[in-house]
Amino acid sequence: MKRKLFLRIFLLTFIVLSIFTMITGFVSFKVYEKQQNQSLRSLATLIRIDKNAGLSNEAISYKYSIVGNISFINKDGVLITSLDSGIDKTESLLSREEVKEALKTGEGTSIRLNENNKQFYFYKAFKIFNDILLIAIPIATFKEVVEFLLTVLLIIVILTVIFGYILAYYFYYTDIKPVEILERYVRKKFKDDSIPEIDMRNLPTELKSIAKTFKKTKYKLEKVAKKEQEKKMYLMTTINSMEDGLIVLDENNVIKLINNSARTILDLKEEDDFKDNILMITQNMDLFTAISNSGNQQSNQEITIGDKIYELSIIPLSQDNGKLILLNDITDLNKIENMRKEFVANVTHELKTPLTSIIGYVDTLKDGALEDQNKAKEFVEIIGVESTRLERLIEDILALSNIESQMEIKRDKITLNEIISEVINNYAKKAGEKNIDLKTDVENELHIFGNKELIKVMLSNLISNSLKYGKENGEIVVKAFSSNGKAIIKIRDNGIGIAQEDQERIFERFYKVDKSRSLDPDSTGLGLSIVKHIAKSCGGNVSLESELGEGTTIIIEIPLEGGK
Amino acid sequence: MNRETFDLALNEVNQDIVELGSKTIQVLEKTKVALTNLDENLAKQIYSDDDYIDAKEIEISDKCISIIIKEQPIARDLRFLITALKISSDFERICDHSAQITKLTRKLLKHNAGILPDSIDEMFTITLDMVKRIVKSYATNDVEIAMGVYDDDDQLDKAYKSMVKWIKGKIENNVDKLDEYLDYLFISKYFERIGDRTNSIAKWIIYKEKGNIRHYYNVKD
Repeated sequence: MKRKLFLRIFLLTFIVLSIFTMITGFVSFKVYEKQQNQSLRSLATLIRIDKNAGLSNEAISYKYSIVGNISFINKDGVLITSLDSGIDKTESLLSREEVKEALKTGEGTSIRLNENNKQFYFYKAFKIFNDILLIAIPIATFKEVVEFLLTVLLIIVILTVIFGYILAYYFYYTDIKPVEILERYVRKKFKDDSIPEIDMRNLPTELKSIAKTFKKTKYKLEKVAKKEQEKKMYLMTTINSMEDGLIVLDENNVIKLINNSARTILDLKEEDDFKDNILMITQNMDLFTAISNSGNQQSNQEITIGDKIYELSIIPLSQDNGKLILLNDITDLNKIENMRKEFVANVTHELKTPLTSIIGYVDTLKDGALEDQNKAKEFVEIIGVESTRLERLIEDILALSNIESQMEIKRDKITLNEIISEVINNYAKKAGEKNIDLKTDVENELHIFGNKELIKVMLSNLISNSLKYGKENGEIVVKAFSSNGKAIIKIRDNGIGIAQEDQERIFERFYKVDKSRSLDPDSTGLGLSIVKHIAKSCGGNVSLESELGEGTTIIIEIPLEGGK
Repeated sequence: MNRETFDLALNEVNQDIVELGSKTIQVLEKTKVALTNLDENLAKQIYSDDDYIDAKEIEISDKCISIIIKEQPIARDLRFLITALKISSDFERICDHSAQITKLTRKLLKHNAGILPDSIDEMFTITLDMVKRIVKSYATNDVEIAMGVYDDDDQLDKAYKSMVKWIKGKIENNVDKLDEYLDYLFISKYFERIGDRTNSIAKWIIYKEKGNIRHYYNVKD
């Protein structure tokens, strides 16, 4: 900026000074020429008088030689007399400019460089009678002229540099510097928030108004920016508080906007910048394929990311062909839906099995088996057993749904050893039939808070299971003790045991280890499920340890009453 | 080709590699689902995915070779292209192994009531995790992840060794089920191979980023 300014001023000054010098030179030369002409004219008049008086050319030459070289030529250009030995006598003097002019008008002038002695001469020719008077006055040598011109040029250059520099600085500081300051100030304004106020005193008047306008614009812009910021914050807070993942893509599938949930789902860091498309960033081919295939239609589909299932909605946006992507976690929903489907299927199946049997036997009886007393009796008995099974099943389902829905459960303080001995007594006969030794090892004063009837059901279920699957001549041990503020009940048998792969699922509804045992009328597949739910209703839980062929231990933990 | 178009060509290869990697993850995930749910359709999809990946690998190689011939790249660009060539063939092999695992497992499950030993499942989980991380490492140019994957290969080798031990024991006791246990052996060998391929990818990613061929032989140096 400064250099440019300096060069311009330099050039300008140079031209102005050169023109000025040239004009001055020209004018002074003209003045000089005029003076010379006048003095030489008066000289010519004197010579004319002398000549008229009869003085010879030679004598005149000598008389006036102090003025310059004086020569006479005749009309034919032949040199008559001359003091100047340098004049070429063979040369036709008529071709000289001043001679030609003098022949025409009586007087001629010329300024020329004399080739012989490299000197500039002022030549003058006057017509006096029949002769022509030539006067040559030396002005300067050629060297002198060149030196003079160079000196003038040098002075001009030096003056230009000095003036140019001073002027450039002057203009820079008065006119350009303030603009620069203003520009820097405005640029800074848009860059960061904390800018020192501009010092208006240093500004020239015309810039002051611009500075004021800038200031006003700045405040307006700040206001608008603040509003926009608030809007953006509001929007970001809204989309970040969404539970669903939200992503906005442009037409090249590059992420334009993403909320926190989506970051979590796709395992993206906060500082990730999104220059590449979504495949490059997530490396998830399923997601990318779904997005690429969606076209201009809204589409919904399920997608698995990690170990979760999401409902993926892709909505095309009219703005720059982008897409809005929503990810809704439906893992739990899916699980519940699957459980419900399984449950309904199981219930239907379990209820249908005894019913089919009953209907079959009733049909056989109708078709004539009623006549056969023995057959009829046998069939009716089977129908009875199946009906009982159906009843038990429905009771169990009802019990389970009651416990699950937490309806009408009265909870009192219960003493465990009382209930355990009561249940054991109920099963003493059955144990005797299989010759199983039913042992108890129960701590006194174990109080829990729960529903007495339900606890009874829970224990009965467990002991009847142990009896059912226990070996003959085996033993069942019921232990109860307190540990870490919990009452722990362990029921151990040495029966057939449960395989490792079944252990996890054994507490599910309708799960049976041996599918063939489903024909057992006593088994509904709901027993352990009920146990689990009762334990949970008292704030406890159930676990088991078992080895195939060795036996099973069921462990129930229930918090003691009052946290004792 | 000026620098801009050249960069575009490199970026295209880069995207292709990530696509190949992502597709490989997808194939492995599909394999897992197909095996747990005994999904015949999904198994067929895996075979067709394998064909797609074969074609993609050839496409990437062609692109790389053409760029190398036309542009004679040097330094980082050359390393990138060489890495792309090596990695794409590794991914392609991983998908081949995956398809072979599917084939063997389907055969096994038909005889074996749909229960696979837990150790197979464990190998599957480790492998899938390694492949996922290596693709992420490539896409994000993260050498740390690549080094982590390199170290994790030991875990897979351990799982493989214990699997071999288990199979040996089983064969001694049930000679009549020899075929079945040999299949298990092959499956675990394929997993071990996938681990090796992933390892090789890790080395090449480190080479690409650090430019030191020594890393190819010993990353930990």
